[in-house]
Amino acid sequence: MIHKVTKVIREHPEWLRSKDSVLSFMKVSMPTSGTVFDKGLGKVIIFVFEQGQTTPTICIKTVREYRAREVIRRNYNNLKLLSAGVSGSAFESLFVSPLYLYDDGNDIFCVESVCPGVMLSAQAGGADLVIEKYMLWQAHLAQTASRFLSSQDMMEYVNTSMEALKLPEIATNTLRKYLKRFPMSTNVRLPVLVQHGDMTPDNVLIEGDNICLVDYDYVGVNILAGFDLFNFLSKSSHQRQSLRAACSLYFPRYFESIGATTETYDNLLFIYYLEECNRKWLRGVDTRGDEIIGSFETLMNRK
Amino acid sequence: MNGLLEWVGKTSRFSDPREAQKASLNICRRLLKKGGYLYIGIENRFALAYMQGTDHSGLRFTSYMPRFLANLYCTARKGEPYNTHTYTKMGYEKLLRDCGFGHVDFYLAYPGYNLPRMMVPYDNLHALAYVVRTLMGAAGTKRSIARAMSRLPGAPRLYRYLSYSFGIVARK
Repeated sequence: MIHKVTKVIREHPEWLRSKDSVLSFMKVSMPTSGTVFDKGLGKVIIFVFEQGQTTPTICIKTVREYRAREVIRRNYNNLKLLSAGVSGSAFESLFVSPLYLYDDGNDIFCVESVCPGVMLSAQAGGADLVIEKYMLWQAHLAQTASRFLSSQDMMEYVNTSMEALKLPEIATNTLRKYLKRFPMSTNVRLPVLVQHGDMTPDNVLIEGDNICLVDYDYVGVNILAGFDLFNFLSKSSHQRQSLRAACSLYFPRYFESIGATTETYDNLLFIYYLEECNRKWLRGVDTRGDEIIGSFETLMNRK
Repeated sequence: MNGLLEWVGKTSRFSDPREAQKASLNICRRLLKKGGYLYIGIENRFALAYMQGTDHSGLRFTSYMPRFLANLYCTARKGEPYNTHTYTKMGYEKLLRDCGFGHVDFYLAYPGYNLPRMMVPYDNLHALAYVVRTLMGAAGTKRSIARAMSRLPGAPRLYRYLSYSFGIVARK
């Protein structure tokens, strides 16, 4: 594999800072990669360093086994989708550049540029900056949004989310009953905006006043505007207030910035959470209706 | 050979653990095609982690001791010689060279060689500093200290001497 990677890089000297550099490779994989949860599907990231450089020049993403090639294809196509959305705008630096996709039938890897910066989770602050930049990016996308979700669409979306959980009927009814506690807006107009899908503090790099989002596996899985914001706030440990308070602080501003119309967003928060549960369910964690409600309540009140 | 080479010396077929390790490496080399690779995941003899726990011998600090002293100590405490040898980078290089491996690359396996999340090229100190500064999470005192230390000149060099384990790629 490394021979093939090296050959591709040498064929594209424009990717390097110095075309004749001696290269060294550093492998990074996810915590689950190689474990029983992973089943060989785990992504492996290889950072390419040029001799004497303090930061890597190129990032290679591949999978342990070729049968998992769709992981890389999806990642690459998702990145292209994100890049297209910010091309020529002030938000180009929000994502790395997709450079190349290699697939010879035995090995697959994609080549990306490297984001400068340090993971948000490795810093003491920076959450406000991330939220600010995210809102600006979403507002930029909203300017060209052509699809909008109405109240009826939202109901269908909720039904689809619940079906995806594949819970017993009694559990689904529990969730429906719980959802009815929240007032539902009748005049919702929510633009359909691409969501990063996994905007956690580990996937945000910060350098100065710039942020960069990495890990594109879940791009486009969620079309519900604001999912990233909820996901970020719920995973971020930088908030001193409860998640509920953080949501009341940021969501009105967010909806205003993307030109959304909704009288209330409390129900949306639970729908976002159902989306997160879907993700957990996909990862093989057994989730029940009452557990979902309980964990949602706990999460919302957590500081 | 992941977590294996250090145990090879426990065999009764060789009196010297190093000879047993050489014999097993020679078998591996014979099995390889020319240009083939052998991967070895193994501890660093001077791993700082051994300050906190026991070595393969089941006793503390034996890997730090000179071999003859570790032998005496293990014999006195356990009734058997010290036969689970680990080495420093230089030690593994010599061992592999003695077994005819011409080209050997070393990686620092983080957090350990069993489930390495990162394999940092041993010779690239910039990569090591990048890992500590950029890719490690912030939680925990150890990580905070590591991050602060990574900015000190010479700290990454010291860290790799004391790192827990190596991923070694040897080519026939």
